[in-house]
Amino acid sequence: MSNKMKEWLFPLMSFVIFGTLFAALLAGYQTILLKTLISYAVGLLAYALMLTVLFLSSRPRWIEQKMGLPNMYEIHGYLTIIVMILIAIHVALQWTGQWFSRMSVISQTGYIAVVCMVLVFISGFFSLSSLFIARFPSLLRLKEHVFNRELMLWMQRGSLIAIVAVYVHIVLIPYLQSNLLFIGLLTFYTLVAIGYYARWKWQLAHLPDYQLVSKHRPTSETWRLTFRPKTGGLLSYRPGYYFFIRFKTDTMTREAHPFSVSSAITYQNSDEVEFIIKEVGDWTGDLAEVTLGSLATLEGPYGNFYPSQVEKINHPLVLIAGGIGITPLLSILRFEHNRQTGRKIDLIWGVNRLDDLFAIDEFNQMRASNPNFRYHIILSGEKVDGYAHGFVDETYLNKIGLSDSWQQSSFHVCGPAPMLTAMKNLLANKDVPSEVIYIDDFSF
Amino acid sequence: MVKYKIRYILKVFSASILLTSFIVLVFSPRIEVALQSMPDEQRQSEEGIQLSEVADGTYEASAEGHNGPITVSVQVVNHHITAVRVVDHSESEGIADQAIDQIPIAILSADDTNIDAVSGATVTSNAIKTAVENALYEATE
Repeated sequence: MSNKMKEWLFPLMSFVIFGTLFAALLAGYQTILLKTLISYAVGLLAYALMLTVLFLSSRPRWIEQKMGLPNMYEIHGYLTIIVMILIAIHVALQWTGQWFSRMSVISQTGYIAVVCMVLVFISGFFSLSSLFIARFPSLLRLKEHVFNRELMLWMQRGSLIAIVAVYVHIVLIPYLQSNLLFIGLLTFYTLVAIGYYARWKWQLAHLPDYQLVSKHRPTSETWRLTFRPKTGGLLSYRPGYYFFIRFKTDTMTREAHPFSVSSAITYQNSDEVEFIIKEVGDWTGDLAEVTLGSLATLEGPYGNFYPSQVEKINHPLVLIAGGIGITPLLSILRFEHNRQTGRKIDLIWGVNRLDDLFAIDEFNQMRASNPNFRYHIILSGEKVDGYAHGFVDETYLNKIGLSDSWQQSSFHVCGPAPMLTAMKNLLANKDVPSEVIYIDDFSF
Repeated sequence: MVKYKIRYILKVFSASILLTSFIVLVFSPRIEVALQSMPDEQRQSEEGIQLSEVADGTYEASAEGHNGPITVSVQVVNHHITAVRVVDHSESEGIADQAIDQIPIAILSADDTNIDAVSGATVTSNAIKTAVENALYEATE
């Protein structure tokens, strides 16, 4: 999927919904006030976008595979901003200055939708734009104290209430009731969007249970969790994919969080899935309380970090990790190790301190069985004898002998946002085709 | 992926405006768009349709034209006329066309039935006005 397509897929979806609805609406009019026309156009476009956003928030896998969830969330954010602007214009055009109790039911349902959408917008702003919030200590405090995650989940359900309210709002308009084409289309689109969302929620509620069978700390800041299916077999997943983990214990919130797998489905490891998670905040901080045997569901798998063509072509792999970004790369390494292809693989792992390292014994075993596998470690936070010091940059990559690999390898990069940006720029400067660059971006 | 966030939002907006304009343009031969209704203080209803007493809704009524009854449908929202449509008529083609096209939009623009008739089609014009008035009278709370 090209970048243009990624940017425009969801707006185009909204335009099809809006275009057909607006045309059906106009077909029922002979004369219309300009103000009414603009107000209806703006309102219908907002509704079309709301339906698209609801569809998007059910994380359709067939789109996610081509587009990536971070991109979808980004578009989700922009479309919500556009919905808010359109709602403001619609309200301004229809403003009568009356109290809620004196309004007609048409206006009342409209304002219920407006209030829901404002709440959804605020919750989205606080939960998704953590990078922005982190810059303002007062907002961060507000987020920690006032907006707990459960409350946010309820606020997000507001978008569903808003859609139902807007549907009633439109259907109540007397003049439109006789326009069967319009009402038919409106009902169809609404049912499809809500139906798709409901189907996803139903699937989530019926996911098989996984049991936590092992839990320990590879470093002082990380947890290694291993799950085994309680009944039935393991969900099939490819190396570097990720799942949304949702614990079913009282010590954890019921919110699902996305994490990359560090395991791979291999002969030795055919019935377990492993995650290595860094403690950074509220949810990951609560992991200390989770006991062995706890049940959880895994939603997914999602991702496209190691597609099948990378497996088949067998060209050299360059794996670049920053900190805990090693997780999906470890999954790829384990998969390749199990295949015993002797593939040329370079792992570059940038960490802050020596204490952040783990799995080194495993890397040594891999090197013993595959002489074409090399790993390079660079520390940015402290100078230690025997280790390189600095950041993963062009100089360092040249120094470890990657200067002639740019055109032959595929690149898999996972790490913090600044590192991903630096790597994207470096690879673009080296004319590495974008088809062989795989970025796992989870800083959103 | 989206490099320029504000530019992206503006692009989606521009595309929406283009699409809306295109659809309006396609329908423009069939639909009259009235620029504005008269402000409340300028409205002087002659004898009596008090729009303030008409509830939101769509109302239909008829009045006698040249060749038979003319039926109109009137939409009222927030005590303003927001749509007028000739639903059925048996007036002669050609002569009455202008009145059937123009009187509804004139009523809509004025937000009132107190408007001038189309010359040459006075009977049809007045019939449409009367039908609208009938509809609104029937709807008066």
